[in-house]
Amino acid sequence: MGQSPVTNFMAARPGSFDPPASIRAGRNGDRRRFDAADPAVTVRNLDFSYEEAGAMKQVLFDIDLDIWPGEIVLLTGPSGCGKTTLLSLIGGLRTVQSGELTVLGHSLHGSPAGELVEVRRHIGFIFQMHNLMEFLTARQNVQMTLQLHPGLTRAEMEERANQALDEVGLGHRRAAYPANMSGGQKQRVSIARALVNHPRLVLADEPTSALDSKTGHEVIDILVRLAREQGCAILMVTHDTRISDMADRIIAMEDGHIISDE
Amino acid sequence: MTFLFRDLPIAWLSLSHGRTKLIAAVIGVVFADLLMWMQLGFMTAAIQGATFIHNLLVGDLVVVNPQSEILMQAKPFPRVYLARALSHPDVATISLLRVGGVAWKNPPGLGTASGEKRNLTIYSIEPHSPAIAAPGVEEYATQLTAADTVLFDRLSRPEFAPVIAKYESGEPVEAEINGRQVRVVGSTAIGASFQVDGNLITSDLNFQRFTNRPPGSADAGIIRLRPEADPAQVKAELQKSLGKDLLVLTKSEYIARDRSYLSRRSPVNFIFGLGTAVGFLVGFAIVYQVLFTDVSNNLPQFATLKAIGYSDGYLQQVVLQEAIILSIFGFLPGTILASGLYTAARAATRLPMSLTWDRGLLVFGLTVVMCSLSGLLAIRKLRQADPADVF
Ligand SMILES: Nc1ncnc2c1ncn2[C@@H]1O[C@H](COP(=O)(O)OP(=O)(O)OP(=O)(O)O)[C@@H](O)[C@H]1O
Ligand SMILES: [Mg+2]
Repeated sequence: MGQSPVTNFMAARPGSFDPPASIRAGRNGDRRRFDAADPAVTVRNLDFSYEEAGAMKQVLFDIDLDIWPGEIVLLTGPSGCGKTTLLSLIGGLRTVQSGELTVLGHSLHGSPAGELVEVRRHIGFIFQMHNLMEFLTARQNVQMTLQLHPGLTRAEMEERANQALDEVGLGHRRAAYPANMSGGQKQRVSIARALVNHPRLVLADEPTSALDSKTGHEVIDILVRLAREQGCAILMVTHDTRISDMADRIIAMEDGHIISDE
Repeated sequence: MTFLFRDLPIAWLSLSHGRTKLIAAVIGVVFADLLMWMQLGFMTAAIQGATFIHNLLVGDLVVVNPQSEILMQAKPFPRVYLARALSHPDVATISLLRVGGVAWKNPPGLGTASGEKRNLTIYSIEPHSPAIAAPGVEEYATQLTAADTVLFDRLSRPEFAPVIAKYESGEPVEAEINGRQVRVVGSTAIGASFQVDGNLITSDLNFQRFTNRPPGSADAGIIRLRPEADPAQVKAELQKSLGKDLLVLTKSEYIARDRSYLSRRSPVNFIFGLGTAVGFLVGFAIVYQVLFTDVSNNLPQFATLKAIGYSDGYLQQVVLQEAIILSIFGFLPGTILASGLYTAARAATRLPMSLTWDRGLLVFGLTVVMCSLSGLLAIRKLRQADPADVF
């Protein structure tokens, strides 16, 4: 076995990551071809309940799920069915209560808070609202992710952040503050922020819901293109059915259950 | 430490992005620092001001009544008690000092205080051997042998400035002390304080005329030693020969004794300590308000930082750094303003106000503590930044 996937990833210098052809193959690629690598995410028998007014209210039931490296997976379902809850569990943002959840080689069930923080550093997050720091420029916002990992000098980080902004088409807006950017531009900055470290997994919750559909499409195009280039897996919650043709798989949920996975 | 140079200075970027926020916080700290500087300055001045005269005493040793707690309220002792000290071979001279309060009636037509009765402190010296080395004393000592003559302190409170001006213009200045007509024959320089509006110096005979104190007593005996004498040794020997009825002190011990009495027994420490505390609390409240608002407004962003992998400790450091930045940014202008106010206060009150390093260190320390406490309290709000809420 040797190294864990995470250390493998860390060893591969970002930018020099060369995705295997199988990953670039796209939606109809045979899942068996990923056998060589471990899944980026493994979920088994996952239940989850919120405590509300003293009572436990179960919102996830017996979830089973694998996400393979490089896969682009959409998560859909009616409002309140538990998509965000599942995403935040996979992202190490909530504590696993029962079942098995392994993300990038780390088992999250019963891990101490410090380990969750460490796992989160290797995940790219894209939020519904961009959640950029108002007091930082576009480039500085992207740098915030780079700072989480040792080894780069200030100059190298600035260089990499600039590059990441170039890749999302914002090379000319590096020094702009979020207040002076359009919604689509802000969401592109947050894509740059999520991808600049070349994470193996990106979690996105309705990243386009605050954008008009044209801008939303442009943003998704950029996200998917970059993810494919880097070979990173995406789990994205979306209600937008028109982007389903870009995905490798679509998982549908209802009332806390997965009802289809194809 | 390398992260200092590698990482973005989030604290500074966050503070400086909102100009009004930064300005509000800095003004709060400046105000607090100004208040602390002034109150602590007055506290010291009140005590130092009361011991101006001590520094002007001519001798090496001071003899007082042990029951006497402070020169201003000295308990007299009979002069003859000192006779034995004169026989000590190392004692060169002994000068006697007496202190009292008199009602001084300003001559009419002289400024705001004209015609008013004011209490001034009066010191009595022996013209042939003055106990006080204040400016002018030596020069005018012989004139003080004339009846009803005084030297007037030109460092008295500003409302007495016309008296000095008139004297300096060469005109005779006539005034009343306890109902007696007196003449100002010279000026001296001692200094006003909280307790004292101004000072007079006169001869021991005139002093008896003004105050009706019995002759033959003294409030302090000022002993000058021969140059080769060892003050500590002579002090011990004198104490032994003078017995328990008198207390022998070196000049610096005497100053320290009176200052310590003032710090313990007068309300100045409490009053100005309270003023300093008020400044501290005001600054604390303003800085807390600013930092708390900053954290509250940025809660989703802080939650995002936690979500992408920043630790609680990192974010707490950011808030603390903001606090430290504010303390530095407030202290510097606060100190510059304080130096201006010190000058103004010196001019208006004649109090010995000056910026000292130790007080600067104290004010800066208090500022850092004040801001850090605000920061620590504001940090508690960070707990509400829950990374689970970011999606
Ligand atoms: N913090 C919480 N405390 C208690 N109940 C919650 C909490 N968050 C969500 N829920 C409930 O859990 C269920 C699942 O919520 P979740 O946000 O995961 O749904 P969702 O599929 O993301 O919905 P949407 O499409 O509207 O975003 C809902 O019934 C919701 O009311
Ligand atoms: Mg949701």
